Amino acid sequence: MLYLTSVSTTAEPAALDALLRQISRGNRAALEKLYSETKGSVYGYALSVLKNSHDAEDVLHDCFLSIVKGAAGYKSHGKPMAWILTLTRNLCLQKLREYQKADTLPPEDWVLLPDTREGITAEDKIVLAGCMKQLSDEERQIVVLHAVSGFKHREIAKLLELPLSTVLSKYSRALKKMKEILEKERDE
Amino acid sequence: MNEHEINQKIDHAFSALPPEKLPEDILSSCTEQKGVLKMKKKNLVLRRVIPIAAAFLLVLTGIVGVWQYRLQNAVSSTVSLDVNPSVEIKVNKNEQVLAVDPRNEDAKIIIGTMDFKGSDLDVTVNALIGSMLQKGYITELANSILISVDHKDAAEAARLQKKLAAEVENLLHTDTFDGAVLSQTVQADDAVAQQAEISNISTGKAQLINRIIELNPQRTFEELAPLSINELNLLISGLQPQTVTSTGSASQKGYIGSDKAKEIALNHAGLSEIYDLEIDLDYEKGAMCYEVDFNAGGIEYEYDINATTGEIVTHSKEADEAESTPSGSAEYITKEAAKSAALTHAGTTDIRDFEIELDADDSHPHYEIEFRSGKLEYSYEIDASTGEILKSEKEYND
Repeated sequence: MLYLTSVSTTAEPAALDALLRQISRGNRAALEKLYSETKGSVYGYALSVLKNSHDAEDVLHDCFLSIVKGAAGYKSHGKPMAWILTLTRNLCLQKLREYQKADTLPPEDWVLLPDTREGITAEDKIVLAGCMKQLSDEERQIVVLHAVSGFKHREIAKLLELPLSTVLSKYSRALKKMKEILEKERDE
Repeated sequence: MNEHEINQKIDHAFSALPPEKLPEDILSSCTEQKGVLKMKKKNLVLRRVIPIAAAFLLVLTGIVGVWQYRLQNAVSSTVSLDVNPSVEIKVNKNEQVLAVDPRNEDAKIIIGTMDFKGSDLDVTVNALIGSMLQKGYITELANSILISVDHKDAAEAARLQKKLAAEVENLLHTDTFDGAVLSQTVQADDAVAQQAEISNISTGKAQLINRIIELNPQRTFEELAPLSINELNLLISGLQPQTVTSTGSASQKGYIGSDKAKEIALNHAGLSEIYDLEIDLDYEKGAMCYEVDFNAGGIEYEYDINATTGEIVTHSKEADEAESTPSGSAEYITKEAAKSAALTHAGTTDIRDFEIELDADDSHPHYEIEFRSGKLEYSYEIDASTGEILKSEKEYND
């Protein structure tokens, strides 16, 4: 059986680099394009870390502000998504620290999500519920970075500061769980 | 159901969640960047200053007519205000305004339709500062302003500089916010005027930049010209030029802060016990950066961390000279050799999804290799110098 391990749905790095350059020159159409190309990655990752749609939207918002501010200083190493998701991660960690300071946990409101947006299928709801409820935090982040942002395991390891072997084993475990959930659902 | 299908379903589910449209405030924040921190945040100061500025303007319109006859057209001194908007005010010996020249696009926005001809210098400065606050050019994130006074008589220039600095300082001082005022006297100099003309900045700012370069010759004029006064003020604070008077401290609130920069560097290095830590704010490779230097275990670490985004711009480490050992990329084995070492160990040639990366930052430079064969997923670490297998793992993955 031959299949692709990476389901990269985001645009080519060179195309994103070009958008970032245009954004630094004040091109709003480029900003809108970048948003539509990468919002799923940024939001998906933020949600998988924070488990709270309100906070994830905050991070999405702040991340794009940072992108606009940082575009002029952005130095391409051919990895624009890694840059964008590093900004995302820093913003998420900042949120978590705020909760830590207040000694509370972010309220998990992902349950409310599926009804809040149009175009979400019954299967999407099952997938979301599975990811949010059945997977550990790290498993979920790894799977989302791979599936939504098209990150390679090595890149995930770097972003999350985890050993590659940990990422690989957690990824396989997470995928196995998701497979069970989806196949069970299909058989019912 | 295979891996690809599952990944696609996850992608579909998460991609449906974020709002379709980019929020308007982000869109409107996307303007050409000239190394300026333009913040649209509303500031409490405004509520106080706008009425003041408005009152001054009312007075001003009255003054114009009455004092018209006293106008003298000889330029006695030139006062320039720089934030990022660069404005030059020419006044006669009675400190009445002869002309207000915008030196860049931002300055035109600040001046708007106001006409200052014939009004008092203080009134004009008040109104301009008010407008800069109102339009968000002076904020708690970028609170610095430069005042430069050019007058033939050095004593007179110094008097005017002192007077204006005190006035502006007072205007920018509130309960919630303190401005940082740089002031200097300048002598008309054709060379500097030409530099200023080319870069579209005021001669005052050009002179400030030249003073920074004098103290730090690594800098170039071209490099510093696009920086805002707040950024220049941050650079100057370590240099303390005697010819520039500085009050208040330049805001670093737009930046992540040196503690955060330290945290990012230590996280990246995977260290907690370090010594000889030094953190400086500097301008590197086109952006304001925290330079974080430290030592640990006989190794010197150097990081440049983007002060706005927290991104690691560059990082390096090297052994303290005393313990230095020679190493060079020429001594590494090729990727092909590393690949074949891994495949020989795995006992297969029928592989897919092969990935290889050289990790030379590590104290043990090595190749990281991943591939799949059948239902197994392999990962290897191969010593980049010797080809020795440092680590091998395989996992079942259907």
